[in-house]
Amino acid sequence: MAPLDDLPCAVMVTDDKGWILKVNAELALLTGLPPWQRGGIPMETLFPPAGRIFLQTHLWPMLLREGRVNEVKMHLLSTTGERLPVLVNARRSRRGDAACYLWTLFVVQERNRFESELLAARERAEIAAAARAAQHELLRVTLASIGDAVITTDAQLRVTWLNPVAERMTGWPVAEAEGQPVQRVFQIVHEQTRMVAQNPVELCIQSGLVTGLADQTVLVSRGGRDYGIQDSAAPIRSEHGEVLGAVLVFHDVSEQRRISGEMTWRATHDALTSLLNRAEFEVRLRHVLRLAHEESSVHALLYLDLDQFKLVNDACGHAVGDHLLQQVSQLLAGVARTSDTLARMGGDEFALILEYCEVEQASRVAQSICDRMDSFRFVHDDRRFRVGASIGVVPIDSRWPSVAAIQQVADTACYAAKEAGRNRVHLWSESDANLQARQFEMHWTERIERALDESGFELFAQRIRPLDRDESGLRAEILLRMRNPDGSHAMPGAFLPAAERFQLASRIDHWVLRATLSWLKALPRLRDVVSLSVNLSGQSVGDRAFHRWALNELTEVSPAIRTRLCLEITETAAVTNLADAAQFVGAVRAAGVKVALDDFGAGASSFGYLKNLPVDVLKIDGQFIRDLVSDPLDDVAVRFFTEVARVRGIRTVAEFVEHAATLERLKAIGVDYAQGYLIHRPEPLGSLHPRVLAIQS
Amino acid sequence: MDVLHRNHVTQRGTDGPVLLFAHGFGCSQTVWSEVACAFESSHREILFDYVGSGNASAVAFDEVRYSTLSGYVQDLLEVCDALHLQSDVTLVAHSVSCTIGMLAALERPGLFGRMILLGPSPCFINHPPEYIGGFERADLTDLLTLMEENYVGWAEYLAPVAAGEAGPVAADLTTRFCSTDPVAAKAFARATFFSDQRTILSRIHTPCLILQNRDDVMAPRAVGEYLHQRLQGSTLQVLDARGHCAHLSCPDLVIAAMRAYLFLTPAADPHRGVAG
Repeated sequence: MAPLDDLPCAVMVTDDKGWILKVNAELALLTGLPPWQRGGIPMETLFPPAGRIFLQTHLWPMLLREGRVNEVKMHLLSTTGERLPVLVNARRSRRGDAACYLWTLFVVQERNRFESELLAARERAEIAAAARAAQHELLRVTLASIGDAVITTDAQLRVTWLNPVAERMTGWPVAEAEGQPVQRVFQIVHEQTRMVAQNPVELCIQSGLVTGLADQTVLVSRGGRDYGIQDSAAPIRSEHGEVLGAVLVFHDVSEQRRISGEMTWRATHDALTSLLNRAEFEVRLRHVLRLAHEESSVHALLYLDLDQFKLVNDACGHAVGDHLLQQVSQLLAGVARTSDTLARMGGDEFALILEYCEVEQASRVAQSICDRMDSFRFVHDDRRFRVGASIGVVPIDSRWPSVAAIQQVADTACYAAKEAGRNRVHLWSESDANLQARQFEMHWTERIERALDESGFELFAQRIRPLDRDESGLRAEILLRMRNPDGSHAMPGAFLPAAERFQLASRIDHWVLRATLSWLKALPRLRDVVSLSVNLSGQSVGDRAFHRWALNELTEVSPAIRTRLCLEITETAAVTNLADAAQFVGAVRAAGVKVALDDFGAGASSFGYLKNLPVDVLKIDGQFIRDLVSDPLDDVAVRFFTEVARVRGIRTVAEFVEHAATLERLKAIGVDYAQGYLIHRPEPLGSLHPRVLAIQS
Repeated sequence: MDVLHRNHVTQRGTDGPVLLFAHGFGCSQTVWSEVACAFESSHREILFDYVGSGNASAVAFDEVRYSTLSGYVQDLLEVCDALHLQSDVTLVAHSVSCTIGMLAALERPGLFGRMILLGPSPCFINHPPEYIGGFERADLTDLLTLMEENYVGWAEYLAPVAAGEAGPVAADLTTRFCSTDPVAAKAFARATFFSDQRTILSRIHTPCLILQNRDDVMAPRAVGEYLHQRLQGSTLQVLDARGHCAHLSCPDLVIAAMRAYLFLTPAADPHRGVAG
């Protein structure tokens, strides 16, 4: 047996019950057991407790069943009490009649260290993998639940994944989309031309840059449905910067586009008749005038004023008057060609631009309108009204330096037609132009000047009511009326357009502001008034001379009066010279005067100006209020305006409130004040306050 | 999943009384082959592997369910249910399966007519002075490390054997005898060695035979006596065997003891134990 002692590993022999029969020199050295000792020592004692369990639950059962175990890792208890890592091998053998087992035990200190390191490394890798898996899961859940659609592709533009929103919008389930070219799954075309638009993923992978989508792009789903979308694509890069694919994110903007289209429509059209409005008319007139200058082409402008409209309005009321205007609009639309521009200029005034049309032809069109009007009867409650039209015809050619000049002569021509005896056409001609124009101008300037000089104007007021409380003092908007010779009053709609055209608006503003301040000064008890609003024309808002005058005027009254004053400016007025307007608004507000932005929402870019023009009050344009209860879009708009105002700490006023239901809805939305016929019909300012006598300057 | 497939249930023997064999930690049903062979002609024998051991379905492993002994108790009861066994079953259990069997007996009184408990221990951890299970908590933590180290190596070691000289049959047996899934094995180890079921003993009324090995580090003699004192209707028999696996090292002794118990001791009325 001596050669066993020469073996470079520990060796022992046990019987089949686990008694140690022999150990070699190496094992004796390691464990302190006497070599070749016979019997008496159970082999478990070589191992610490954990090893004993492993021996009993794994090693022995296996050895008993299989007759061998290979390379089982154990710890050997050394003489010094150390635990030496060993690899254990065992084989069944025979010793005479009895089974015995041969064991070798290799000390594997070094290997053990490597193994421990490997184990630790594996554990770290497992933890990292678990963390990555958790992160991936989080990302997957996030992408699955966000409202945006997400598509990922590889570098060859093949779809690798879609989130549920993308599945719904493209109509491609992820299982089918996977591996498809992205152009097939994400089909985009131009909104109008329907031409295939360049795929942003392609661009993004080519350029390696984040790519946005051109405006007006439409996603065509697998089922043929269109989605207006906004999107962007970004490259996915490896750690080394290599482009592995792209992630495309997009969302449905169909609704926003619809609303924005609707808003644009409203900004350019007259709500009552659906014809173009004055602002849009001027844009088109400018365009046609430019054509006339650039190509020396000739076009024509028809200015049309209804005869007897006031009669219908007075006899039957506003609503019936509106109905008449709608019918006339239809009649006019029947005459106009699609290339023509037909607009309602306000009140009962209309205009028609006939492109590439000689003045003679235009006169024939005008005459045909008159003929139709002549045979047209407006019927209401069995009463039949005959309504005529006075039409001025003006050539649009290079002789006119500006649109204002054309409008002025068109107005003159129209007036001439009316003067000549209603329902007729007046063709403007060079010879009578100057005279007539001057006469017409005289007519208006004269009346306005006379009114300014001879107390021809009178201050009216319309109450404004808070919606969340009762208020005892007077809160109202100052309105202006011009006294007619017969004692009736002309509405501002009749004289203000002319006043603006003839640069008289600022003088009227002077008069109104001064009269209002005087009225306030004369009050025996100022606290009976909460707030009076005075309108300023666009001309005044853009005029630095007026600014100086107004500020001077305001500093001369007491602060108590200033805090009771509110200046209303329209956004269109403010827009013309935003810097000057903002400066003026800032100065009057610093003096304690409040500023309201009037007709808010009428223009398309109201919000932009709101940002640059700090005001106290927003007056929501009447077009949103009139049909508030029946038109969901109006409701959305008003809620939106109110929310924006609330965010900026601005109070809101709804104009044109005419029905109780509207008032209730405004309360629910949270608008602060209401104004309109339902609240109050305008009255002379003096009669609004019993303690105050009407004071007119 | 079909329980018979899940727990790799195998049946042998005749249409006689039922012997249900339950293996211990670290093994599989194959440890019973010699013992079971001896009762083939007289009994209907049912063998199974717990999920995580032997040939049981690997996909059925659930870390939560098998983190405590109750998961293994459910395996045992579900095997009985799948075979429509409701009473008079004789459980033959080794090591931790003895505890699993006792828990099952509590949950389903009347299922087992009697139990043969080979090397049982209600708790492997020492609670001096009244109880010496044989190990300290730290020893069991060491065991988990040792298992971890070996399972890493074994997976590699077993692969060449499968293709090598031992031949495919031997390799197959080896593979199935020891679980190579370290997660399942560690779960079973934790459930086994960290459980302490001493308090249930007084509520067990099923007659049982305790087979105590003379020299067993896993279940010291004192543990056998502790059990015998607390298990009503128990018989304690000490086998002249070393180690924990007498059914492998000394199958003859185990078989003889079982024969004596099964054939010479009248089968007890399972409900009588309450009074006795």
